[in-house]
Amino acid sequence: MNFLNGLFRRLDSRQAHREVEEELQFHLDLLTEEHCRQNMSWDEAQATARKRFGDLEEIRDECVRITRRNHPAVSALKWFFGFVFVTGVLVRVFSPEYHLTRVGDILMAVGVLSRLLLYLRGMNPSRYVSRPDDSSAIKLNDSAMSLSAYDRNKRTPVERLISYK
Amino acid sequence: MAKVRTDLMQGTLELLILKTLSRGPMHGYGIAQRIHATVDDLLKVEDGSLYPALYRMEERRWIASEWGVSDNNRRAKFYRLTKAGRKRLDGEQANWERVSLAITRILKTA
Repeated sequence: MNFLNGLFRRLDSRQAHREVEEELQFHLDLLTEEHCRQNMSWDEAQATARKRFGDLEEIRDECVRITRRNHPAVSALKWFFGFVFVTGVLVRVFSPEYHLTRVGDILMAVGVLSRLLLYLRGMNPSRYVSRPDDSSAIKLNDSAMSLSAYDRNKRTPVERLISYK
Repeated sequence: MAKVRTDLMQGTLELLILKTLSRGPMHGYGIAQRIHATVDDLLKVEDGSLYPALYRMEERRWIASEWGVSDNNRRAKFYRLTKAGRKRLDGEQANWERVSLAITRILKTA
């Protein structure tokens, strides 16, 4: 099981997570700027933006889950294990020798169980995918265009984000 | 005063997104802005709820996405309608109009 968990993590990588974060952060930054233009203070604007946006963590996790479900490597694995299953069936049916039929049984079992595991993972990834660590949590963008640099209270973007939790 | 129900019916958000994207490629914020501007205060659409819907629609190949550069020179993910999405939009729009017409008739006559 540990091997499969490790394999899934490697296949998933952090790419999907980073892209979802970047996309959501882009939206939040623009919302904050929009509220700032309505004469709100920066903190007030950001709080209003987060409120209007909804549950950020829940939305992010849902998007990551959908992305991972459709990862090309996961699709390739599904095909592979499907092939393993079919091979097992063929070996089981056409093999004249007893010990080879056992091999067919094992291949069928591996194919079915692996497909099942991939399916369950798509349904409920929290059992297999670890929570993102702090370094990959949503950060405020530090580009010059956005309002995400150190604020007047000398708080870093991460500190500001934490203060809203 | 009774609280007015503004919950979106299931599938309605997808229809709104499809219709919005029929005008051309847009990023998530642009889609949200367009929907807010169009529905005004009639419907309440939480911005964040767009994203799981967008990802699911991309999964179903109704829309496609690619990273580009936004008006403010930031990297943004742009969504566009696919051929399947346009077909879906036509079907959903026709279905919505039929259901809407039926309900309106019942409300007016019953």
